[in-house]
Amino acid sequence: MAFKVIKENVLKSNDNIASVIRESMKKSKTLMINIISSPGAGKTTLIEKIPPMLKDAGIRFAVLTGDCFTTNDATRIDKAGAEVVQINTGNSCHIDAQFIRSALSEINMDSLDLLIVENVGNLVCPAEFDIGEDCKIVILSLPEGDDKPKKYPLVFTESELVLLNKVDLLGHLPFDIDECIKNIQGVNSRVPIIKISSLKGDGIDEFIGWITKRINIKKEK
Amino acid sequence: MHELTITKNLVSLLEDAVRPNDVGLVKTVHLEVGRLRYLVPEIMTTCFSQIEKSDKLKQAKLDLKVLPVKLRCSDCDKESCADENNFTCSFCLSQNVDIISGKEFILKSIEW
Repeated sequence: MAFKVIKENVLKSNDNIASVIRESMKKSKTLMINIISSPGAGKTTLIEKIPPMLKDAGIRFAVLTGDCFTTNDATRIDKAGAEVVQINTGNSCHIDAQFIRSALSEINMDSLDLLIVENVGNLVCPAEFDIGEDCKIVILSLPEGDDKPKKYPLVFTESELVLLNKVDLLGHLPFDIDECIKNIQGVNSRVPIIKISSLKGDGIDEFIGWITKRINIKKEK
Repeated sequence: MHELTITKNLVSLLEDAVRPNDVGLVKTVHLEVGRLRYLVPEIMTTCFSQIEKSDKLKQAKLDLKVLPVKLRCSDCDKESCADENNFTCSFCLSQNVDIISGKEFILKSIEW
């Protein structure tokens, strides 16, 4: 019997492409955020809500939106006044670095301060793939239940911001917000949490403030 | 179903590894996967059997070792394991911890 030691990261080819993307974002000083959540948690609704506020703040931005098959999300985001590119992942339940590399050929990064990636709705797989982003942001919506951080810890440990969405439903659901925050901090004690309602607008200013701060940090680098 | 993408990546790494002439028909592929990766070994095995491979890899079996979540505490500087998804230092109960293991995905070795 013969043996060969390899010791190689299985996702090496993805991570290599992600590094190239990260390097090009560094050159153009564009902040790239990767928004991850379950289907229906409110990713698209949030992205529809923010274009006027980003424009008011003087932030130049574009959106890459991922979906297995449809262009529904891109149509909604386009109507909301944002430059958008649809990424159809087919049978893949997440966006990997290769999808981003292809989509970026349609966008002029030099004119952008912010690139928003809306990942495919899924709390497991998107957390695993580096796409060259500056940070992952996870949205957890109240109807999903307060135990999700315990069930899907990786996405919460990998994220630099948690958005607790649909807070306008507080009191209408068997959702314990203190328990949820405890569960989030149980897997990532340092992550900031912003309570929002993408539909009603609560907390969106705070979210825009967070983004603006991160854009400024990136520009200074 | 991240297993399919991940297994495709694995096969492409394996093809590079078996290319040299001295490598024979591979019997076992040893992998180390962190618990936080939430990989289902059975699905991965199915994906592996379905993906097109060169002759040297056709009979290979996957041996998947799951690595536990390990934490290092920034307060007391000790290391501990986290069996549940509540990442707290076992010694001083601080939540000021870094995950130092549990996210790995490593092709460790091949046997033939």
